[in-house]
Amino acid sequence: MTHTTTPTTDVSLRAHELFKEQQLNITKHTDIVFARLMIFQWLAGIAAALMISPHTWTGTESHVHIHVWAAVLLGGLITSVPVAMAFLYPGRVITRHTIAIGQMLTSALLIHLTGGRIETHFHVFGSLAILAFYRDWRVLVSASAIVFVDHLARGFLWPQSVYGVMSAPIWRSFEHAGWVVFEVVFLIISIRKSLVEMLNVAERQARLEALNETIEKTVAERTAELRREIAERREAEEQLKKSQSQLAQAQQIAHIGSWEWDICADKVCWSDETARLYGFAPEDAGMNMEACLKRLHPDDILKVREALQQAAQTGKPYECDHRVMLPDTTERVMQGRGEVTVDSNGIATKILGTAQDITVTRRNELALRRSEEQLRQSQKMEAVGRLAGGVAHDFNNLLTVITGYCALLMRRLPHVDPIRPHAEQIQRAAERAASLTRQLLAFSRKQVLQPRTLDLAEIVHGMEKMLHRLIGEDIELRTISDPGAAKVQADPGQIEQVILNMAVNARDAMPQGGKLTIRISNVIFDQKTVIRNRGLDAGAYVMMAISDSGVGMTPEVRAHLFEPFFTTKGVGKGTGLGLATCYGIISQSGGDVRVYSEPGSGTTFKIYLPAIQSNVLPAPMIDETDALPGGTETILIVEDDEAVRTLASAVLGECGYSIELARDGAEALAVIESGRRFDMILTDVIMPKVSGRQLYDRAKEKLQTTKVLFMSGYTDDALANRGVLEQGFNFLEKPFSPTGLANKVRKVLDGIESDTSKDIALTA
Amino acid sequence: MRIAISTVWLLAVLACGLFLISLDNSAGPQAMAGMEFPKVQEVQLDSHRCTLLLFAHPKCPCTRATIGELNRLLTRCTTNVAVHVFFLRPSTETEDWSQTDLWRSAGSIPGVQVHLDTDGAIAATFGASTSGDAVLYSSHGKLLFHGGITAGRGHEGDNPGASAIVAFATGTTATFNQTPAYGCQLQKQCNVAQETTQ
Repeated sequence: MTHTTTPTTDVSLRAHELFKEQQLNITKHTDIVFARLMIFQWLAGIAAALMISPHTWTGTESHVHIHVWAAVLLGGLITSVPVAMAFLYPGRVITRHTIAIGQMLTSALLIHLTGGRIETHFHVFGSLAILAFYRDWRVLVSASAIVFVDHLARGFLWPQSVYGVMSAPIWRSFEHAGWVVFEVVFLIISIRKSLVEMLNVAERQARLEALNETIEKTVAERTAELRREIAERREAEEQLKKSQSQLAQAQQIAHIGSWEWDICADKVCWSDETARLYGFAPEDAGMNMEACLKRLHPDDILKVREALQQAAQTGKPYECDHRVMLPDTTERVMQGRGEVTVDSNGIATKILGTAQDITVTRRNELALRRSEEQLRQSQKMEAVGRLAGGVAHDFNNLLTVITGYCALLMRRLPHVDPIRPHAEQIQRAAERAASLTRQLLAFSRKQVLQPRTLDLAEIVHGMEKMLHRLIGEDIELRTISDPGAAKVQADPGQIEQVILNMAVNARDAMPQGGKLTIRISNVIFDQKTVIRNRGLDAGAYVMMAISDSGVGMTPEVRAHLFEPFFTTKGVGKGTGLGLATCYGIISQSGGDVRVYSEPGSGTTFKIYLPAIQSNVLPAPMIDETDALPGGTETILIVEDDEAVRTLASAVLGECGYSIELARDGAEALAVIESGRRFDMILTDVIMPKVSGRQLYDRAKEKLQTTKVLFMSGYTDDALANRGVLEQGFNFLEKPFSPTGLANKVRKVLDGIESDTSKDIALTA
Repeated sequence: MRIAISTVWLLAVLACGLFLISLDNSAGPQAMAGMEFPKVQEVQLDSHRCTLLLFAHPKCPCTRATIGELNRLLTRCTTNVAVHVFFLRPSTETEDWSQTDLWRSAGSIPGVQVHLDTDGAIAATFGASTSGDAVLYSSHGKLLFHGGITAGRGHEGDNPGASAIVAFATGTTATFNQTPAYGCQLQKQCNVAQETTQ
């Protein structure tokens, strides 16, 4: 059988323990009280003896009174042991009984010393009452016994010592004892009640302790929970701080700030990134929305305000791009977004939003649009150029035949022949057509340039007289050149053509006169400049700026400026090919043209050509003579256009050469493969089946001593890519005159223009 | 051990108490008074009532009880007794030496005349040697009573001496005509024989 301890048992045991503990405390405390009281009584007795009867006299001689000795010695004896036990053995049973006896003996001594005064008997009753502090009835019994024995003995033997009378009946002692018992009985009753109360208090204390223990346990558990919650909260706060830091960093990286508008309080708060983007100072925090709007570009304030109001009214998301004017006057493009929070009544209370810096994005979009526009423009120009080039190619073949046969005809007609003027008209018309065709080819960048290393300043200086004549006296011409201006690689004739075209346009833009300024200087495009000036690589350029003080141009005119056949001049006054030609020439030369113009503010064309650091080579001089140089060499003419082939055959045949004809490259290859040897092969470049370059490549082992002269109305990109002329081949441009053909053939045969000539090149 | 200590202690206290009691109940030396009222200048016999003479040492603490008992007994026979209290005054001392609180207490009792007794001459004349000694003479000069009027040293309360005086003064029968006196000696003991009377 096992015993289990129930909470009730625990409380009872604890109550008993507390009761005993309390009793012990009371006993110890009372011991100390009596120790002090008895010491006090002893000292008070000595003091009283010294005051009342300090001496006993014999005449004039005095001695210490016996009562003083009694107070000191007997009182000390009575006091010593109880006091010592109180301090040495507090709480012991023997201690309190000794104290009780001592206290009663003190009463007896006091009664004796006062001669049995009845008043001093109250000391007995008072002492009993104080002894009741022990809450131990046995102590009262001990004390009562001492009182009874004392009274009985002294009452019998020395009644004057206890009752102050010489004789006293025995019953008087019993009477005194009876009064003592009377008091003791009530004191014992009081002690019992007090003990019951103490026990009750102990039980309450035990229950309270049990309750406290339960509460403390609960508190400990709750405290542990709270600590855990606090730790979790701290961890959450750390995570939150980390998240906030990451959010702030993310906002800074993404240039996206957040903001919140408390509509009810009309207060706006924002993140650090928002403050940075909008240029808000720390003291601006909490400002109202209207004050915030003042930071925006004046033109955007109304738009943003309306967007916010509409969002607040409809509850729909807010979205509005706007510009911000920063304190340092820089402008920033922002994309604002926001979600509206509404209360239970559907009324907007706040808007939580973001603001993203899209300045770079917007700039890039703008640049992209410009690039796309330029690309579209380039594609359009390219398409037109291809069209023009194709037309020009066929035209050149036709013009070659017309001018060729016309030249042959005129060579045979006497100067007095009435038909000759007609032939001359045909010749001039053909030449104008050829000029027009050249311009088309120049625009389409499919003409054959003959680039040289040029000093643009020299070119302009050499043209000054002509330009003065061209623009008239009402227009002042100024030419300014940088002394250190670099040289460029370009076809001088074509550059002159560009300058002339632009001068003519400037003249036409200044009907009332004005100034025409041509400035030449060096410029360097770094990477940043390249970004703004798309189309040019970074590097050194020579800029030729041609400015007039004319009427200027509208943006619409500027947009179509370089398109072929676009002209603002009247019908018949312009071909619309001038600036298109300029554009083609400059582009083909690796440069670019920019125009700056506003209506009424004149126009400036800036031509950029890559700068080079090489010596100027003299331009080749063409020897034009009326007499056709001839020879006896054998020439294979390869031309798919029958008229051109026939003309060339006729001209060269007339010059004395032995001519063999081939209708295309394949036929020519067959002739060469047959073992025939020729001093020269004059071949068209663009032919079906086998091109002139292919013909050369296949037959060059057998053509080691044979000269090759290419001819073409133009050379297209494909031709250039094949490298037909990249190593400097002999080339004859269509349309050509019989004299030009004869001279070129002779020079090639004579080696004046050999295969090593590097200065004729095709640039796309 | 503690019980033994307590027991020894209790016994020691009892022994000392007994010694004290026995000491307190030892009377002072007593000399025989003259049977007739002697002729002295300092005090005259009252011919109409009893004359009570009390001799006191002015500094005796036990005599305070005697003055108290005198006061008490006079309440019962104040008209029947002429009371004179003589306080010792050594010739070497001034009067202030004698005029203590006992002097003033005695003087304040109605019907009591206090006197200085230079060098105890009067006391010696009446055979008194202990402070508290009282002698009672009848109006005819006959000695009625001599002795102390307290039951012990400084012990107030009913005592045979006081009862006897009241009885003689009021003309009733007295049980005792002589009692021991408890107090200081008025003079240094010379030829006065000590006597202890029941």
